[in-house]
Amino acid sequence: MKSIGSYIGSFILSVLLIFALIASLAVTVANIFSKPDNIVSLTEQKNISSIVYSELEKYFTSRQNDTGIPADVYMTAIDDELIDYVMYMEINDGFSCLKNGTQSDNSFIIKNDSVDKALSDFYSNYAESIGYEKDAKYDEKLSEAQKNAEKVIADYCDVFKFDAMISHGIMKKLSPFYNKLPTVQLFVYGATVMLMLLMILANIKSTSATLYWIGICSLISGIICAVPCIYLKATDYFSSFTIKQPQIYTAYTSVMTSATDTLLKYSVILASISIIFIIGYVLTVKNQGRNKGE
Amino acid sequence: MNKKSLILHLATPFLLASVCIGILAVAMIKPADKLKVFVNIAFMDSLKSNPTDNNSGLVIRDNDIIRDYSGKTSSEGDVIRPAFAEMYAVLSCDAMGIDIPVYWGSNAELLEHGACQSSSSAIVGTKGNAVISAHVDTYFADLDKLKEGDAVTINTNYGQFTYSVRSLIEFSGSDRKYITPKDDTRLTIYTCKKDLLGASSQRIGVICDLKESLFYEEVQK
Repeated sequence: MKSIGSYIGSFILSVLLIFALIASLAVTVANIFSKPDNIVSLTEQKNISSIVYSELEKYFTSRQNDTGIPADVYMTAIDDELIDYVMYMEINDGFSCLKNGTQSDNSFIIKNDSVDKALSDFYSNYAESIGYEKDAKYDEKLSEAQKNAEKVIADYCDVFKFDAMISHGIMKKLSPFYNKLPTVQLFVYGATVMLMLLMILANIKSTSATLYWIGICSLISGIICAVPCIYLKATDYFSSFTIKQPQIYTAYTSVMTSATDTLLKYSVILASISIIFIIGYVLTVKNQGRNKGE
Repeated sequence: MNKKSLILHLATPFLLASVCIGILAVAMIKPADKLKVFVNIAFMDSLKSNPTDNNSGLVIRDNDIIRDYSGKTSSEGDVIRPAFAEMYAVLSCDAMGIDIPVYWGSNAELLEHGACQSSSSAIVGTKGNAVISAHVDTYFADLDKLKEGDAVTINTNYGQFTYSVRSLIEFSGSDRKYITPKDDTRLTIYTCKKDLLGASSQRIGVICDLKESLFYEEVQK
């Protein structure tokens, strides 16, 4: 640090660079979790379809005395493949609404022949066993049961409750932020690179000083991001998530935990890179000292 | 590197970190204040459990109900108010051939265990409309066999209450005229009307008049 002027200049640039690096980490993580494919992949990793299956089984079992339809009728027709498909469609529909800021266009219809057929067979056998004439009321009841089954399956597979968020207008409010994310990401990355270049320019006469300032900036921003993540993990903070419906709880806590893990991972990488800069700085200073001695 | 420069090099990261954390803390005051409400709603320490743990969900309490009380009784007394999902009575009816537990409160899980009394209705033994329902496929399968004059008895741990069927009723599921509070003392029991599978939109039931109240004096003491 040759002069106080250069020191103060580098200090101010460092403060800005630290915030730019923190913002870069944040937008990188936000970008990862704003892609429907990553969310779908996370639900697959956490095997949420099996949780949904068991919750559907519980629901249909609890309703069988009310509806007279044994849970088996539904459950033999529902499999992980169907649940995965409906979950995939629900997530994509949710993100599509987030992107377009519109209401769900319900472009996908959960039409599953196996569930419809299972119900149709059951109704038919039951009607025959009690001698019930298959009249208009019969068709109405059957159609009602099929629609209800589709609605229940869709509702249980909507593990992020996108439908509720869409109907409450939350997606519309979030849409502008979501759509601005790529621009913000570009801006933040650009600002970070720009600040690094300015730092190099501010210390053009001393490579070691550049390494020093960039090194400590990376270290501090890495630590600032890592500390809250470590706190969240150490206190098992997300386990106190209020919604205790197993599939919703697992979906949300998985995303939150995964986002925390990703941020922590990048923070540690950034802090590790800073060590390289600092080692580089120490070596350069030593070299300079040796050269002066010679 | 001289000593002064070394101290500056070592102090700078701490100084820089302090400045950044300070700026961050000041900048976060307003957003954190706004977020606090949402975070407090979304994450409650008292709910720190995984829903797959056995300690989450509805706690249903089954009690032993006094059926063979032989002590002194009186026509007036106090009731013992149960907790939600607590079995607090047994409903018996010879005409239906049933002797079933009654839970305080009503939801799908409780309806699997017995009859449920709406917690917004009058508790048995007090003035008003006590409303009890159960599934037509299980506990109240023979409710439609009840006739005027049939006896319905409710045993609780504070007394025995005998009712007589006054009238048979049929109403729509959305019609609340029979299950809302009333000025007289009555018992309304109802279930879904039997239909071809699926929840029926019609309800059938009976309205009963209180014939005898026997509060257990020893319990009252």
